[in-house]
Amino acid sequence: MSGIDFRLNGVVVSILVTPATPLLFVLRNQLDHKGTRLGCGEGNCGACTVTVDGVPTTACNFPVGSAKSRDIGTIEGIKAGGHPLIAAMIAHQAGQCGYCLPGIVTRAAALIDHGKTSREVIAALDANLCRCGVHRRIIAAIQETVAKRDQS
Amino acid sequence: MSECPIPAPLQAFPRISQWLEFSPSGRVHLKSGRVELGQGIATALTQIAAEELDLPVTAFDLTLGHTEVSPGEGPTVGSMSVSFGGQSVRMVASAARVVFLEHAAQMLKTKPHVLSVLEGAILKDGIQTGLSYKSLAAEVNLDVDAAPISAPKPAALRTVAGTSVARVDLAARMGSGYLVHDMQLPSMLHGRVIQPPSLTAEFKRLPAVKPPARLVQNGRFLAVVAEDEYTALQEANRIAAEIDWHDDGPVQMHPVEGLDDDIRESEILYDAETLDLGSREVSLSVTKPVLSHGSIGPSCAVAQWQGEDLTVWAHSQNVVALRASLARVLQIDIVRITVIFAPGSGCYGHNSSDDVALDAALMAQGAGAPVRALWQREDEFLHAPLSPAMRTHVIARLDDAGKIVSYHAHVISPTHSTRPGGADEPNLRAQQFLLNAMPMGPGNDAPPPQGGADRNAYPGYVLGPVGVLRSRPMHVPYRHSAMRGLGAFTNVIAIEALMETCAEIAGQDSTLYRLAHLADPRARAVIQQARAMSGDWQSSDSVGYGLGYARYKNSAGYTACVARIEVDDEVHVTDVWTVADVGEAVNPDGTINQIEGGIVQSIGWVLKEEITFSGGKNLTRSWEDYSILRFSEVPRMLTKLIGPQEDVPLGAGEISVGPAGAAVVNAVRQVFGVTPTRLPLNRHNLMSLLS
Repeated sequence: MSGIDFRLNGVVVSILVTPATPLLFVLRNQLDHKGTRLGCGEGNCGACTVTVDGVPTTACNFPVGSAKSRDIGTIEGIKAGGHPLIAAMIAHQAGQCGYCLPGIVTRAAALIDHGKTSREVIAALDANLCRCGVHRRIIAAIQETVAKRDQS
Repeated sequence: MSECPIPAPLQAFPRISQWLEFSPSGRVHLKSGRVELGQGIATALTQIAAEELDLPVTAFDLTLGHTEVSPGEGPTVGSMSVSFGGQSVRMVASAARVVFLEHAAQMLKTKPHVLSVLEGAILKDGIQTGLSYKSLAAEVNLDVDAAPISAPKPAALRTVAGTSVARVDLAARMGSGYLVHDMQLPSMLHGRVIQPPSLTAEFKRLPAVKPPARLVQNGRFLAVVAEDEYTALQEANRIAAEIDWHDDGPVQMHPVEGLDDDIRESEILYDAETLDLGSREVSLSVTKPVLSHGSIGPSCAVAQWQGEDLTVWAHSQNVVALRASLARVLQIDIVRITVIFAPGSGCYGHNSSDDVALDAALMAQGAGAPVRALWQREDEFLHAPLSPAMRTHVIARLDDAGKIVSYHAHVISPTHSTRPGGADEPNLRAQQFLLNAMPMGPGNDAPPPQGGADRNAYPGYVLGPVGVLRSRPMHVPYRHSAMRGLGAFTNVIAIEALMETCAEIAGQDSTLYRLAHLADPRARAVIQQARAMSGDWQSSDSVGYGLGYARYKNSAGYTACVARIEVDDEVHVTDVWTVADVGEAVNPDGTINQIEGGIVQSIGWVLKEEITFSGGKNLTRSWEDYSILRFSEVPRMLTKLIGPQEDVPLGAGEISVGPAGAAVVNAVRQVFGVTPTRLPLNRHNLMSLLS
């Protein structure tokens, strides 16, 4: 067990944990941030996508020890911050079961905030799987959000 | 008074109070046996109730699928939730409004017909009376039968049902704490089951589990529980890797090859008087491999024992059957068990959601603490029910003018339903590993016309005498059960490829050829409009277009799809145009979402997906072994609903998988000049098609 500090959605957190534990389990079970979801546990599906210093990263295979002193962003932070992509997703009914959405929104919002084009954001989403087949609605929500960003 | 037929759920649960409760706080509690699997039924049911009661959709709290609270409607399957569950809610909500207005009229010494409702407030001649659902909630008796007094609004007066209200649950689904996966009970442990690699596998010696993790064992049912989830996971995987399983079971055939060589029994479902008509025979077959549900989240359940009483939270499609199945396997009185639906990952049929509920109950029993059980990705591919391999062989006979004058289908497939069936056939995976082991039942397809493997094998076209033969393979080396559309996916592809082939032989335009064999004006309309919406078909050596049509189950919604593909060394679907008639669409955008979701899944099934086997051994363990459509592969889609809102809702959730699959197959057929017979149409099978 080691004491590890990192920033979670801008707030410093200190936890006592085995450093090899995947960040995902720490977020969900120790820090009660359950919006980040376990899909495959192998980094193949993207359901557990968070940001590490702004870079989309799968938390299921990211040891919490590597999060030390870094900025971790999750869907909870994106929602609390009122990111416009959230409203666009709801307006486009861009979801069915929603299991994949926190990971998709986290990746897309990070890339939108980094100034990426719609095309770049959507291309990056090949790292995330959606089984309900909502892709086109998600794409529409991203395009709308990017267009509004570029107008302002 | 109502002239509608009474839907079956309302016949079984006739009283208003079984469905609706009004609180003096102003909240309205809507109870339904239908569960929200991601398909949007919570929103649709809320809209229906809000419409009839003249309440905002925000006034409702829902309990869906709770064995102690909601009406035990049975399964949420078969694209029937709005058609049956929704119609029940409509009649109940209407009846509740009638009861409230009659009560208010007595108090106001007036007639009910001069009263109206605005956002829950009762008006007389358009003026507030001071009465409302809220103020009368405590004194109105809703223990009355709904059907005799129900008078739902005519479609033309609806303002909420029939509009694309935003999903009531979507924001919550995008965050923390909504899913059964997120539940946290005091003293709850995390559990992972260690799956025997096959039904016949045995072990001699168990490795010791390192504390603080603990082993739960009952026969060959093995699980590791721990307070810390990662500890449970690591220990379970370590034990699983170290157990020396040995398997003396029979060597099984490959599931697709077994379809040819291994037929157990055949059954004539439709016996044509004569098929020996016409002058020319056209035949083809379509073979579908074993498919996975592929939900992104593995199945999860939470179980808690309090003395002899068990509560299970599960994302089951049928809490009533799960409860009865658990009672049988656990050998306890059913009244001791409460099953509460809690949302999970997407559900497209009979997946492992019921299995993990038994796992959780066994783990909680063994551990003496509440347990959250979660399957792993690999478990989902290897041990969950899978959509069975299937072959459909169709034969048409044509007269001299090229018209089809008889039709025969031979469907070879395991049964498409082995759902938990309660006490007689619980069919929960772990039951076969326990000290008191129970073998899994064989399952059963619904009889025609609904059907299972044979669903939609009976054509929607007028083709003269029709014969349908259904055969089952003897040995099936995997668990097989219902996935979206059941046999309709393969059967519709076969029929639509046959129509395309016959049109070509007859020298006729394939759209007109279909219309020449169709009498139903609604069927004709979706085909004509989808064809028109897709514009000029600019086909070439590498660009193809195809049409697919079906009325799901020959009784639910009508769908016609046109697909455009581009071919290099793979097939890419670039566009799909769809016209559907589902009758009333309570939430049109939600209906389109379901239809388009089905299209995307179907394209994945046609082009990419296959559980790979070596002989009878399933080799699929991760997403690296099983491809589904990704963002860059999903086509543009244009989808239009043309159903009359005043018509009954026909059902929509599964209607597009057959037509979309058929449209892609026919587009491939157009480019390659030959009908694909073996799915998926990946590079390997395309090369075989060309050679």
